[in-house]
Amino acid sequence: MFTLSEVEIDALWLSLKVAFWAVGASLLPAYAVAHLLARHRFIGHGVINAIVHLPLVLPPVVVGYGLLVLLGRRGPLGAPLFELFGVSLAFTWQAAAIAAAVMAFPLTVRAIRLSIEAIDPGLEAAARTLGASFWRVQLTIVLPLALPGVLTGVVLGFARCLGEFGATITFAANIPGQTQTLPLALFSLTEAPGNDMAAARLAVIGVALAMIALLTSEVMARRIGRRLGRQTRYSP
Amino acid sequence: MIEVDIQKTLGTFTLNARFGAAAGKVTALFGRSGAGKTTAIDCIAGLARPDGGRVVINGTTVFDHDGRVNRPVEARRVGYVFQEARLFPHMPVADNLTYGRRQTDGPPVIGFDAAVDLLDLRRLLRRMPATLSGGERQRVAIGRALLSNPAVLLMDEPVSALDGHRRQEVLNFVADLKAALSIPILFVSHRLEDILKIADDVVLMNAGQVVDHAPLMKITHHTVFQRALGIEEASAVLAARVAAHAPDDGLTVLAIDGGQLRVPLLATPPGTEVHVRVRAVDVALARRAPLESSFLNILPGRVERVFEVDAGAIEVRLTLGAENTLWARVNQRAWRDLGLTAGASVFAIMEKITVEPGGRS
Repeated sequence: MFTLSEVEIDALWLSLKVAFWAVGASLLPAYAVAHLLARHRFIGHGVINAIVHLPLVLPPVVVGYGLLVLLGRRGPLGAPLFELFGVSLAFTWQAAAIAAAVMAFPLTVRAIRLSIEAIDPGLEAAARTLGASFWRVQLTIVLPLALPGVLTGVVLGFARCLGEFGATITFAANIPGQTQTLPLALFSLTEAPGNDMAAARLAVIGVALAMIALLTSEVMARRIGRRLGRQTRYSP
Repeated sequence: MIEVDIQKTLGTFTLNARFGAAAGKVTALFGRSGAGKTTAIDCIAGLARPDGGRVVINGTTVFDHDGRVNRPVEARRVGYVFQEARLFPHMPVADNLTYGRRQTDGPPVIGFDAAVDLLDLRRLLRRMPATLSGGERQRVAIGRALLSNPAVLLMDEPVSALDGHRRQEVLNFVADLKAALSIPILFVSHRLEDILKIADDVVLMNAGQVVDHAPLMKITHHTVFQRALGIEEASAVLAARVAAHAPDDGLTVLAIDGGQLRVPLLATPPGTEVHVRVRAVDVALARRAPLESSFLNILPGRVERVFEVDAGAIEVRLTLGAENTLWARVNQRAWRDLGLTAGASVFAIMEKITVEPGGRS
């Protein structure tokens, strides 16, 4: 019988919590940046594009270190945060969520951007001739049509967060019950001798989680596709 | 009523268009592709921004370069029917139709039920756009534009993506609309059949310039109009009236300025105004009236001007009666043998005539 130990439950629960908040909090900015990159041409377009994609190509440790410098108690952002609100991020689960969010951001933006780019701008022009304001066009045309891409972005981002390791261990450290997510727990197990079985169990949980996420997104994407009439046959 | 006077430069192309369109009429924007037709109506809709000039819709200035007026698209009250219907794929037909419904802009141009019945959309209301045929899509697009309560209806080649049968069907709906609405309709087209069917006036455009703005019969006088139609389709259009029927001969007699034409028996009652289309390739010329021939329609005319169009062929512009224009395409060699010059009297032999019902004044 496959029952989960307390350590495993802790790590699993923490991973889910971190991934949920990381994706949830970065979704709106990701959508906004994706829209900006997909539909607007401006000076600095390439620079923003590069910055967004940076976490994808940098070693995650560098990202984690950067966050530590920026948001640490003496960092340019972390210092005022601590002085004004008494908030200290480093070595908390929130820090793990921020690290995961930054690492997942490019994947989410990319998926959403592709789906917005696939929308015929002619539809937006048509909506405007029908009297719809910019925001109404966004809410009633662009967002619903980009929904499959948003969904893909969420799932990819979520999966990326679950697997995040380097930036998390650098910025949030590896504290059991606090910042020790699934990959970090797995790492700790492999560090000490005689934990082969426990490590294998965690690996299986990780694979199962990723599979559930991907399959859910597949089913939902199919359902949305049907609603758009892509699979509906012509009936005279 | 809509008044347009705009300039716009795109690379090496310059649009310089000045024309108007009256309420309750269909004004066709005609010209070969690249003439600037679509750019012109995009400027009216606000989808393109002119470099200068002004656009006035129903007395409201929606664009004025010098006065710094540039209303956004959504505030211009234009109904726009695009070449590809551009229906919203995630909404059923009914939601597409009501998407642009405006509550504030006075009495509606047309009610929902009236539009649905006029365009025969009742049984499509719950369908998704992906399941519609091309003609159905275009009808929904027309209904959607009308139900946004527009001050002007802009149609950019709304039937050119459709095949013959569906094209006729949609054109018939547009013709019905004209009778039911009291707003100007601007109809972009490069096909004479479409214009014959629904247009009252034609704005002839060429290389970004408005060449003429007149009823169709007057427009056929222009060589750029004939060039835009192409060799096979180059035609004259004459205003005619059904004079009498001769059922025993299977013929109907039409009266035109400058004579009579006989065509296969029509169902329209005497007195009806019709349009007659005569293709240049169907007109032959003779110096003397052929005696004993099987041709039914031979009319005297005068050579007005001669154009060498391409290798071996000549297009002759003739005057029939006081001011009717007729075009004939003849072989260069035949033309030399005939020895005709401008001003010469000639007989035009029309081998084939097409009658378009519902002539317009």
